[in-house]
Amino acid sequence: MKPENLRLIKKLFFNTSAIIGFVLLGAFIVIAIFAPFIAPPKEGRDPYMMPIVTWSSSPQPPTPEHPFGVAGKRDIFYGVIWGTRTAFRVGIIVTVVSTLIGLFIGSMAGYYGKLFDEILMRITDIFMAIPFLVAALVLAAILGSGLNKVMIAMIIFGWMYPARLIRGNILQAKEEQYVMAAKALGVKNYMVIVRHILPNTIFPVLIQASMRMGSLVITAAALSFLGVGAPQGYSDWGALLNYSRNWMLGGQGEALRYWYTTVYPGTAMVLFVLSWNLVGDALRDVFDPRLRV
Amino acid sequence: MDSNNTILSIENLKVYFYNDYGQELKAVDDISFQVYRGETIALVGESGCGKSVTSLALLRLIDSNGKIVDGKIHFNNSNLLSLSEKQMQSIRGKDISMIFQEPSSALNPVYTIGDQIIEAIILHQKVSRYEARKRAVEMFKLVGIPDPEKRLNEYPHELSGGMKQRGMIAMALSCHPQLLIADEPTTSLDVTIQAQILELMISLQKQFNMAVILITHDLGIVANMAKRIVVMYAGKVVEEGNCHDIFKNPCHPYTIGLLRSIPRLDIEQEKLDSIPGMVPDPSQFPEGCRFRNRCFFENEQCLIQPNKSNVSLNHFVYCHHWKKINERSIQECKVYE
Repeated sequence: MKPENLRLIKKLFFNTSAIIGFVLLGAFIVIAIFAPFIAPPKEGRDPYMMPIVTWSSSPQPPTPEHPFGVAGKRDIFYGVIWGTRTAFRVGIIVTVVSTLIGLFIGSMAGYYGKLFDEILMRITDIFMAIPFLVAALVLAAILGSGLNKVMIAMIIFGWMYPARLIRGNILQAKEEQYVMAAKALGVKNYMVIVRHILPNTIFPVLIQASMRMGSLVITAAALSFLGVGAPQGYSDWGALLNYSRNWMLGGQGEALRYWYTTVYPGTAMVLFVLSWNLVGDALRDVFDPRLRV
Repeated sequence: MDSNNTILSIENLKVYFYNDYGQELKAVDDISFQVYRGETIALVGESGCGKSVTSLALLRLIDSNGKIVDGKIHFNNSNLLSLSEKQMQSIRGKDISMIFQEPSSALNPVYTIGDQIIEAIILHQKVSRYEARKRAVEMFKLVGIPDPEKRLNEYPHELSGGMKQRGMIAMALSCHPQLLIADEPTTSLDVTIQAQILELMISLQKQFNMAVILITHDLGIVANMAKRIVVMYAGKVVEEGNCHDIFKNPCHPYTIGLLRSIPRLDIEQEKLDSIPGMVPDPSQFPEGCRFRNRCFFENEQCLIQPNKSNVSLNHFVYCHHWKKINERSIQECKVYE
């Protein structure tokens, strides 16, 4: 490893917010990996389904047995732990697929330009003009509800952002003199794209992707909350919040009576988004040599 | 000079650009000149007169909205315009190299300067990365970059402007090209660095025995470096000749205007002359002589495009009035007062 790269990595780990980001993300990864040990599922049952632990329909406060309390007859702790896996799955699949689609469409539009660009960008505009939640609800009505359907909806209405970003960056990079200089040195066309244009354009996309990873989880949770996402009883932070919908205002004169039904899944979600945002910032500092000082 | 000595011969080159409305912009219109082995030729003219387009046309790197409409570019007896893109790629950087005006924007910010010069070396010479790196260090020493081993690992933003231009020169010369195109190589540098870079270029040119096309509007540089001068105006060659002839005996009113607009130490002047007006928009070049609406000598003759006239051996001019102009020397010729 080159000494300056070493220096960069050192710099990265002396940056408080980056450390917080990586520690949080690491904690979530550990939780996701060790979910079967932290919250062991009953044998023979789908581990992603939260087990029913009580017949009482009102929430029950945390006890040593159910440390985050009970909502909708189900253990919140179990839901939060296994929901981490759901969050990663939704975040990673949706981000990777929509970023790849966006990269492809955006780089085609940016590199070939002209009519091709015009057509692709108008299609992008049409997709962007549709309010996401409405579109996702309509799509769920057509496809049926369920986590996979929600993911499909998020991909269909999520590829435009990376596409536009990469297109703009490529348009800009194409005009740079170093691209002309590389051509004047006899560098082959595809090598010009791969070695000289993409490295100057890909970083914002990667950073945007890592930041979107967190916010996508919120979107998925919103859809679950609205009832078109994960099915009843599925370990998903949004679905957990859906359970607590009725109890959010407390009850019997006490506004904060059922705080645990919202605070635990909500905290998990906030920390998850925060960790991705901090990691995104840190990645930008490391990978984008233009910001190196 | 016989034709064996000619390394590059441009014949009737026409480069036109087309805008979205189908308008034709004749950026370079029917120019011809030769470059001989090992010599420096200067392409001189104001901004927008087609110098850079000519040089990019030599490398066939005209943007997609432009087109080489007609003409021939003979390089080492092969017509560059009839080569395939692949053959062209093997010539770029190897036989014909280019130095750009802005070293800071011509270097890719995401790679170290070493990566970029090594890429250029590997591209054209079948050598290992290790060998390429050794050659890069040698090139850096040659262009006077101190501590080359360390500098190779630095990014463009860590280097000063002069250092970057030295790096660009090292990159351009890394494959020992026979022809170097230097597009205003010193414009973005400050004066002391300018002198150093020019000296470096002169010494490297002798060492490698390469031909240099120097594109500039700075006649001071030209007097220092070039053997011959091609003066361009609005996409046309207006005068061509040996440096000495052009400076002592300019025959085109535009050349005179250019020469009179440089400050001189030997003549008392209160105010520096300038050529009135601007280079016309390429879509509105006048009929006939393109310089006529800025020219002191304009008359009805100028509505016809002037032919090439031979002033002396290797000194050509495209003007109807060159004889009249030739009779006055530059000091007496008060055309622009």
